[in-house]
Amino acid sequence: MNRVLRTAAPARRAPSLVPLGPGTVPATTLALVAAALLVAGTLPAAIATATGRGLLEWVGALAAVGAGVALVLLWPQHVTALVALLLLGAAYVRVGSVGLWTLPLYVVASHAVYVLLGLAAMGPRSARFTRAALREAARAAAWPQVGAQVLTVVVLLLTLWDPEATGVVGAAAGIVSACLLAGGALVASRVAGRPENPD
Amino acid sequence: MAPARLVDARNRPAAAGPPAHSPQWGVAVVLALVFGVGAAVARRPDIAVIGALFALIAVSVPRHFGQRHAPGLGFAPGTSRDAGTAGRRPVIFRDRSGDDDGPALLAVRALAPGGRESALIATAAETALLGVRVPLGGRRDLLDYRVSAFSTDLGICRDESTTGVLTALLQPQPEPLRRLPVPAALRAHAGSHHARLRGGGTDIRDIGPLRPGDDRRHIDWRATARSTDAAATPLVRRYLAPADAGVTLAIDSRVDIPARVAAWVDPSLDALRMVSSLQLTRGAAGSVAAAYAARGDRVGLLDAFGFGAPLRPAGGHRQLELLRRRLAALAVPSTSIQPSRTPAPAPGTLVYFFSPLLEPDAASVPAHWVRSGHIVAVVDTLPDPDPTGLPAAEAQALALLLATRAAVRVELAEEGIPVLPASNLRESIERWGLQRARSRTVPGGAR
Repeated sequence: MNRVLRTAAPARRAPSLVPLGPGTVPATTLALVAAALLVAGTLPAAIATATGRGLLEWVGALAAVGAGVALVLLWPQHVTALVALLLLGAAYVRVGSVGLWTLPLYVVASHAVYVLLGLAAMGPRSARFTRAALREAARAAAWPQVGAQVLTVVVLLLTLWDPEATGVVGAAAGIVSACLLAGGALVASRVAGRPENPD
Repeated sequence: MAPARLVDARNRPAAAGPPAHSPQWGVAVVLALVFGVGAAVARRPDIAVIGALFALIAVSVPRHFGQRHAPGLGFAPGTSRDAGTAGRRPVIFRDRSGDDDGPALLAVRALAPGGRESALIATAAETALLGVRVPLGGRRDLLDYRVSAFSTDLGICRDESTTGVLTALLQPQPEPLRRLPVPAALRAHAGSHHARLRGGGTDIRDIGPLRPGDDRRHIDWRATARSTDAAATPLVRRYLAPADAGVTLAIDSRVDIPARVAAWVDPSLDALRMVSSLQLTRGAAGSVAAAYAARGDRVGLLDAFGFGAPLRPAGGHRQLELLRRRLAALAVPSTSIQPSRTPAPAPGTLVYFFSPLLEPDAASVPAHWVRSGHIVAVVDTLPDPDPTGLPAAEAQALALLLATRAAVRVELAEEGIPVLPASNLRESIERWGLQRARSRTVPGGAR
């Protein structure tokens, strides 16, 4: 939509299909939840980065979080999911030095963002999801979740064994696992020849 | 306005595309191998542990998408009257492949004329009821839809190879007309015939057990005596009802003009759901046909300016159904060529001529029929023009067009042909019927 010139905007038309049964969830809601999770995952790192520094660092850190949220809300798609996951990974690397408690938060946020944005990218902005579809997607995403939690435990054990090496290895493993999921979805969408931004 | 009656619906389903392989699985296998080889070379057990995790992912994700889901859409009977879904008809969406070798999500992306694309994501196992806006009448492509299948972890997706199309044939609900004109005047004009209904005629229709409402004078005692019925129910002779009128519906389908004048030339306006001249023709002709058929009269159809085969006047439900289909399928012809000879209605029939009266021959053709002995009424099917948002030049063009229309109406009045507005057909046709019954004039006006 042309947000600058309102007169050039197309006429608002009703969607072609409307589910008549109750209990469907719009794609916009999923994008909103994903944006909230992204803020929860990246804001601690942004604050930790900017604390004790000048105004420029504060503006830069908060702008990065805001840009990620805007990206998620405007273009819920696989590419956006990849960028959001990289943001979360960078946040983990920054906060990882603070404490290992951030790793589970990162894992949960990244997988939820991936699933939500992946779902939102399946249809146009007016898409609606049945409850059964959301339940199935959440159930399928549980397996990578379990894998990521196992990864967390492994990194925790490695920390006890070799504290100096595990910071980088753990962060890299987390980012790679998240990118694996998002990259897979991206390739799948490319294979199918679907436009990345349906709206 | 009552929702349109669904005459027919056809669905050309979207065919499923070829099965896709999972890129997630491939990437996980490659990473597991890389980490495993790296751990062996560097002799680092921590790297081997990470490689084992990717091997775990490779085992857990599905390798390929073997399902061939062939989802289909079909019309559901009845209409939805839920709040917020006004003007929408229910459509059933379900996966009819029956090949369930794993869970899957199906995304239906649909586009209807005049609407914006929307989608519903559901599991392959569930059946969803969707509302779709339908045009007011005619043969229309209601929905172009595409279906994508996804594995539930979103790792694999597959689009369909073709686009599905849902087509429907819609006809407006008939308006009940009570006081129909002319049969009394036509009685000597057209000759009598028997309707297929039971009534007080002279020709026998059937013999059956006495039921409430049957005339006891018609009990057939001989047939009752021959009957082997232990209860000895009297048998009654039933007779065919007499009916007299033959009616021809003559259609002028050369143009289809919506009510809003700006939509005559601007395709971006949603003209499909506006009241248009052909839509009024479908509604008015359907009402007249249903009213006469309900009385047992014969009704036929005639394409006044086209090459469509005429439908000879006949009675009965099958004829009415045939008329409904023909009316629902009315469309503007792709060619402007007209037959050189004016088609003639069936002899002795009352003619209703449905036209927007925008061309000069809209007056000469019914006048020709009047001179050949028919009683003709013209039903004006042009909706009230709505000049909202019309530039000055186009407003002047509209004024010229309306002046042409006025000239046509004057010409019709000179021939003594009444003009009945289609938008208020019920009152006008009853008024005309009353006038004819009172005046007892010679059919066809002053001759």
